[in-house]
Amino acid sequence: MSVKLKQLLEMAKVYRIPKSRVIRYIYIPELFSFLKGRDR
Amino acid sequence: MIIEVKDISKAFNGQKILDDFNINIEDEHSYILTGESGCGKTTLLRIILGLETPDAGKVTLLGDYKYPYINAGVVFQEDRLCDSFSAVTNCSLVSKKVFKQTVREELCKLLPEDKVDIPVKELSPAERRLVCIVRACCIPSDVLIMDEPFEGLSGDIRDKAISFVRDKMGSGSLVIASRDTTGLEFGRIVTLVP
Repeated sequence: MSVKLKQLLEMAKVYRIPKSRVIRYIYIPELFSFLKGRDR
Repeated sequence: MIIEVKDISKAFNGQKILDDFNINIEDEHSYILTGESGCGKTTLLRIILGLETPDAGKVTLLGDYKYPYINAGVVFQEDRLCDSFSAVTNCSLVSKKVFKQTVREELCKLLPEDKVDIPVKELSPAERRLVCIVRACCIPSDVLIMDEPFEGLSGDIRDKAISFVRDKMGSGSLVIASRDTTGLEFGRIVTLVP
């Protein structure tokens, strides 16, 4: 797990952001960014 | 609500960072934690937020009823923003209790209007810091906990950000960890020693 993802998940935990929002705003963009980086 | 921090000790790799540290964080009071880098400011905030477990001591929430958790607006040492989304989205995604219009109005108090709807990755480091401050302040909370919130801000914008935070603190409490205490003399200065 990247440091950035870990930090964002910690932020989500502190603010008690619902799981659906964590997936939409944190996991999916991180996955896209990972895939984009891998394609280069 | 009172956050009672009692006899907290914490060590990393055998090096003691906090040793029997005590503080009571009370409503309507501001606390400025200061000290050299590595003196335990961030560790203490992380323990209060439940992100770190102390080796000894405990954090208790006291008040009129039993608080299950700390309802806090938080600024982390790093920005921790969702880069692809706008400042408005970053601030409104942390709570279901805030409306985008309210968030936009709050953001426009510190940022130019044309900056609040573009992805935060396009903002300068100072502007990103301001977004973090607004994110912490625009949700209903009992306490504001901020780790070096004004880092990278200078002059008028730093003063403006400090006024904004003080205004938003309301009847809750405010805890700021900062090496530089300029402009923060309104709070009780607590110096941590390594």
